[in-house]
Amino acid sequence: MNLNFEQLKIQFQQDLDLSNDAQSVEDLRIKYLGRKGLVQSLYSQLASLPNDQKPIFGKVINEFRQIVNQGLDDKKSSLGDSDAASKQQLMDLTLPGYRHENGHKHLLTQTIEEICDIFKQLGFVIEDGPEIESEFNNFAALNIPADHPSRDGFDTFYLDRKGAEHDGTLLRSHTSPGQIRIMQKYAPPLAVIIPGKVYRPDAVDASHSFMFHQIEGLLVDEEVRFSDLKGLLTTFCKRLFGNEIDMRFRPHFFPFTEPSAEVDISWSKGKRNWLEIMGCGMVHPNVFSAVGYKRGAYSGLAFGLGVERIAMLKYGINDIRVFYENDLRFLKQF
Amino acid sequence: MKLSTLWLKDYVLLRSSIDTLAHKLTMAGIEVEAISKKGSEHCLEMEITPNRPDCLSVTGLAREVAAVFNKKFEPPKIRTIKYPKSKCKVTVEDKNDCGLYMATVIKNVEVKPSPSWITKRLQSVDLKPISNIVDITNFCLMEMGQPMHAFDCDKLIGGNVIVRRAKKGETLVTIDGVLRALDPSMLVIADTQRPVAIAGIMGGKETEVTAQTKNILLECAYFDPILIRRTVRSLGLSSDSSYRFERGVDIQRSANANNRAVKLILNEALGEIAQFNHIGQKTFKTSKPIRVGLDKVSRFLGAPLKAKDCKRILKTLGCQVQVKRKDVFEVIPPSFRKDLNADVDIIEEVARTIGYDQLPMSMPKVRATEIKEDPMVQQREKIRRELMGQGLSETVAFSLINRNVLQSVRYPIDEPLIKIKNPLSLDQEVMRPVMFPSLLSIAANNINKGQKNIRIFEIGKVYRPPAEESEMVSILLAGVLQDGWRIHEREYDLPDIKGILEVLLMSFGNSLELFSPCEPAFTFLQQGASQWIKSGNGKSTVGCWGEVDKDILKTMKIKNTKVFYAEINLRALISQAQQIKKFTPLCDYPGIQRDISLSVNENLKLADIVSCVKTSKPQHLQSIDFVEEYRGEKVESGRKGLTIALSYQSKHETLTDQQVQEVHDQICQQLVNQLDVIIR
Repeated sequence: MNLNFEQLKIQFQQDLDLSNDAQSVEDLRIKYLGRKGLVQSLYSQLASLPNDQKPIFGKVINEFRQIVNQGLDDKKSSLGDSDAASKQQLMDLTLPGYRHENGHKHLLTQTIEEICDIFKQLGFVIEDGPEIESEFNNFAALNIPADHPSRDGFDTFYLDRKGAEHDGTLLRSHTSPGQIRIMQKYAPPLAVIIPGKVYRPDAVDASHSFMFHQIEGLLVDEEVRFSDLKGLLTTFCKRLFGNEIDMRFRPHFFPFTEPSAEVDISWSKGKRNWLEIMGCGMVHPNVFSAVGYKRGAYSGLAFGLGVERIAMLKYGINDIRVFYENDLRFLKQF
Repeated sequence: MKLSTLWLKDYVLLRSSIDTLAHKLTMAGIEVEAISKKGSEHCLEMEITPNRPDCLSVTGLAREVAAVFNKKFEPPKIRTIKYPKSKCKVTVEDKNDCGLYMATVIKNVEVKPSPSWITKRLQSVDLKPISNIVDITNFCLMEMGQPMHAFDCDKLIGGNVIVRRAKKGETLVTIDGVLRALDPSMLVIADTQRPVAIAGIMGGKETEVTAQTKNILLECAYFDPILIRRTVRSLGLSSDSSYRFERGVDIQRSANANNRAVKLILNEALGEIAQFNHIGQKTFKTSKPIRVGLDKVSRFLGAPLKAKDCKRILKTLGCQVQVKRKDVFEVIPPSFRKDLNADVDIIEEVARTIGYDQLPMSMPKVRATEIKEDPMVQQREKIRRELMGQGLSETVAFSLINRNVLQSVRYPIDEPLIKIKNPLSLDQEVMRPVMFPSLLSIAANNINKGQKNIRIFEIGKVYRPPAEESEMVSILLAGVLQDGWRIHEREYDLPDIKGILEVLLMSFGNSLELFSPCEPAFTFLQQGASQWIKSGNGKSTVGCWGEVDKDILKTMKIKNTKVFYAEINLRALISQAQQIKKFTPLCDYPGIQRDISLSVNENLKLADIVSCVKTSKPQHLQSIDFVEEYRGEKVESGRKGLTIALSYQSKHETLTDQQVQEVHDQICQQLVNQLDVIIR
């Protein structure tokens, strides 16, 4: 057997260079590695060699077969790449993808979460309370006597119940009865946030709704100060609306806090345009008495805010009805 | 409450600009809502909170201004009048209704226009001058905060005055010309024959002072605030008078106000006092002193305050202040400040007069407590995450609805409802007992506006008598599923809603049965295409799912689309959520999957076949998956094609084909033996 392996290698390389598609590479594979291919015929010639030469030639054939294998593989994969590339050019990459869109959280829920998250970071716990309430929790315990002008701000839906002419069961007109429930259940220290739906008999228009959402906050401990109220709510407002807002605490009246204040914020630096965003104050001693706390043992701060109002101010919404119409075009904006 | 700078300046020296005045008053708790210019003066419109009836007068506000600007408050100098001994006849039937009634009869008055100093002041607060007598009562109301009324004395039949409850059936034409029906819940001023005024609210037309009036009876009284308030509500009639009586007039200074009015009448309308009567309280105890420690004030406000400043502020506001011990005050509030009862009230007076903006800020120490967050908060958030991940958007709807809406969705009429006693409209009539109408009307509105893919949910409450609030998760699908390529669009179908529910249940580790052979679900869902969701071995109903009845869609004007709905009680959904999951070791031996294609009787359900396969607990069988259901030419009528895939796997070895084949053949045999199936 007298074969020039170098010559064979050169020949293979030339064949390989000429193959430019998958078919010609396959043809080449058959020519060299097929059952009747060149490599196989080389092996079959081995038998006729003298024994001492068999290992030497065997080794050389093996080497050659590896070179062929490697060459064919490389060629194949390089062709494969350009094949795929040429196919991809046919695909219009400006076509939209298959969009399995996520749904959207209602903006009111987002606003409630945003507000609750700020207070959670400050150590408050989120609690819940029922919407159907007693007159005691909604009014009397909060130092709002019956037939008093301080009830004027709290027009209330009462339930029509058989048997009981007027048992005072009502739909809570604010989230403050949640304070009463928490204090009846737990002793201080406590720091809770109570979000929820509230109801007031109102005709629905751009700025009124008979159902809306409020968030109540309550912090009671042995020595809570008025300065804490200012500090806490300033931190809250700046986190919610940004550091650039201006704020003021304006004295106000709420039966269940003393001193009481309303919080105004303003974005415009020049001519101030103050927007009222929440009510707050130091828990009235009568409220502590109503829940059976020892008089003088604790002080506390409380605040309440309207979720719709906050969302409207923050996102530039001018009609409260948009929250309850649930138009998908609105829901998907946020 | 309106206040003019013109009038204000009578009692306090004011040099600040109108803007500063408005700002400082606002920051002291008297919110200025509007300012209008009147010549060189201004009129401020203010919101007076219900705890401050003393601010419903010019002198009251002047006192506030003086305190805030640290100026001197100079109230009008009012001299005591010597009233004649002769008494006009006044009867007060119940002193609880009327704590004080002063009647002054002035004879031979000259009714004419008021002098300009009075008309100017009335006009500065938008009050219309009428005649000197009426104007003086209005002037005193504004100046002193004491409502008064002048009767034409000659028109009072019997010449005397009775303060009593109205009798059933009595009526009165008030000075605004309206006939008012009265009842015994209302307090009236009457002569011997009939009511002549609704106490504290409005006088009668017949007895009002006119140009012809010669003799007047001037009323200066104190009426029970609650009584006045109720009457205002039931008559739907309020006035400057009633507004003040409701909030509380200072009974201790009524005599003073009467002196002021009588003196002004004698000056401006001449005449002489003929008779006088004073029924009710004449002397008053001073208010109980409130003890306030300066250290407590400082600690409570978080600001060190000076005793001198506190004392000055409280004195200007009309309090008597005595220093008991070092830095301990005893404060006696003035009679017009019924809102000052406890030390916190005194602290607020100091704080608001200094200005809240002048006080320091601190961050509270929030101590960790054992109060645990309501677990529902987290679970609701998880439900939202799961459903949003499945492409559903959240809606929020009213919990109060119109009862007719329930009828139109065929909600059972005999189910009890929570009704509202005082709805403003029919849309606030009842609390929703089911969420379906809310979501359906949202879907209808969106379809109307051209939305094609409705995929929504709500987490909200439903309400049942007596006061049950249950939280539900409701889901609605309508229209077509879209992924951005229109060619892929397809209409929603029943498995879409079921799939959403299944994934939701799985994410809460919940194994509630979505199919139970029982009566059809809510009548708003289509029979045969809807199911109750049962829990506790089918004992209680916790939800439902299915296709919405087509007739209901018609009444809601929803056309050309099917609608699918599901709801589930939130507590039932999350009942397994607290359990800690345990890890299942992963198996590395390869599994083998074998499909079985069957031709089965139409009445057979997948569940029947699955349970038949499972009965013998076949070895190595890991799972049974549904592949497809087929109806058509390849199966004879009355039958359907059904393909399931069985997966076999062992935890201990690689299964051979032969091992699997044995089990698989047994399963096939079992199916053929026990059910009406043919292997295809």
